[in-house]
Amino acid sequence: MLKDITLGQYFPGNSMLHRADPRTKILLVLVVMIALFVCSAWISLLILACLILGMVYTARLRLRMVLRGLKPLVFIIVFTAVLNLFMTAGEDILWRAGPLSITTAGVNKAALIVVRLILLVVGASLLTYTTSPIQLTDGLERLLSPLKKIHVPVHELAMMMSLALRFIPTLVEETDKIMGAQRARGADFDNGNLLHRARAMVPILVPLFVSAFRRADELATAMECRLYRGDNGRTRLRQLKFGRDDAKCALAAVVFVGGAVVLQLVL
Amino acid sequence: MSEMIRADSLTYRYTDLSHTTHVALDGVNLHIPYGQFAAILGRNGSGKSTFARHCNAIALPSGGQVWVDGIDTMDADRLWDIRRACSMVFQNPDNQIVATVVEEDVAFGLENMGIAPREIRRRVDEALKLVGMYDYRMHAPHLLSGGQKQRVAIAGVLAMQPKCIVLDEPTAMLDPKGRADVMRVLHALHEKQHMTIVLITHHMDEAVQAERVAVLENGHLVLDGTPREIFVQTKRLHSLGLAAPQSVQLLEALNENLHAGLETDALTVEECADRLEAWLKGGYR
Repeated sequence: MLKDITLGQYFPGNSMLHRADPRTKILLVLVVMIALFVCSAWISLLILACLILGMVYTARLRLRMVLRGLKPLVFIIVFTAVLNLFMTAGEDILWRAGPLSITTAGVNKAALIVVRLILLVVGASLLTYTTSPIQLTDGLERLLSPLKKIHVPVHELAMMMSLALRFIPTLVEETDKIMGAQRARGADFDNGNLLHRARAMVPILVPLFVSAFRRADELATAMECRLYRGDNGRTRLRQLKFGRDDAKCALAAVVFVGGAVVLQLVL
Repeated sequence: MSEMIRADSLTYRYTDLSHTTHVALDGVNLHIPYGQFAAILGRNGSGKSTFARHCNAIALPSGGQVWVDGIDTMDADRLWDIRRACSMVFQNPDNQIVATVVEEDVAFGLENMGIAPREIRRRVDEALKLVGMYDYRMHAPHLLSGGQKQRVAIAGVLAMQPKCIVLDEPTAMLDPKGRADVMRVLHALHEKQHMTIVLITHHMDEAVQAERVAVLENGHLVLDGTPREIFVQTKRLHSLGLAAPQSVQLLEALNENLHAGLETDALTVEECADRLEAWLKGGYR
């Protein structure tokens, strides 16, 4: 059962978006996100929606898959929409019942927030769908490297992240093994109330933690043996390079985002 | 002039949580020349792993001295030179693989050394081909078998081009096929690259293939010689908690029960078969 856990939701592919440098993608997603909040005109949002859906199409992601990513956020989206629907003050009241009222401004605002949130989530998932976790960490490390000057441990954080990614499957496998061992001794993880089930997890977590610490210790020794000393004079096998795909992505983003912002300012 | 690894009256003491002092190594003198394939044997707690940890300064001697490639391991300034000259492979392959892609893991040591990317690429490919894992270079390590993981780990240290590789029970967690693959790689490295190999093990059949066998017991070096010299001493080995190869045991049993008068120093199945054939043809009585 634990084997089904996937992390990072990466879908391998060879599209322009897949090939683009992670740094480009991270920056573009940021730009699009800011644009989404700056723009409130419908025409601007339409242009941004075209950009995002166009990217989904170029990356050959199935629309259903992308929309599935919205599922956990349905509640938040509905909640904010309802809140905006009823709480916006306005002149022409469409409907009124006691203290609650719906205004045209409220309808407009609620619709706007729904579209914005959906585009936001789809835009962000574009990044994780087309970039492997390791590329993402690499890209973040490079992008944040100026922060090293003010002693932010950027390299160490990135290293921790990639080690965590490396060990997730190993620890999941181990958890499976420990659960099997406890089951063989009569442990019951599936029945009883919440408290009972939570208590049944203790004999899994304790050995798991012990082994994780032992692994960490051995890993640290092994890394030292392979001359790891942090960021000092370290080179990389895989060089990040801006290429033609980055230019194409950036051009598309600049045209669409620029258009959307200009229209927003003009209207 | 000097040996690859030279331990002079090496002593290592440590204190456990209940403040009892243990002596893991007690006055060990062991010199391993360049290009030798040495196996270090001993039962659990004999100090063999502790010795391995002294070979690249993970552990430092409490008494005596260790020189690796002519450098005293107490010389903290040259720690990185020591580790570059002598790499180490550990028992559990899972706990020494750092990256999520095989080739990135092999590159890890080189990245730490600050090698140029193009040279890293070349050395990674070369090391992966040497251990026969080139076709798996883009795989995720957790999907490989134990033997494959251990070969990736060996490629990882190989790429750093050390003069010596110390392996601490590298086959203990592997199935027979994985063990055979790892041993094949080690022999190829020894023969083709003239690499010094120190293999810590408790498998007799692995030690038999070495050029030299050293046996540790209770922190003392008790036996040291060629496999042929060591493995005929069945009684001595038994008292050290080790078993002689089955071929030697078989011939000894024949000598004892049938007074066959056979030479017992047959270390491999083939040698044993030859002896038996000669004996049978000679018309045993």
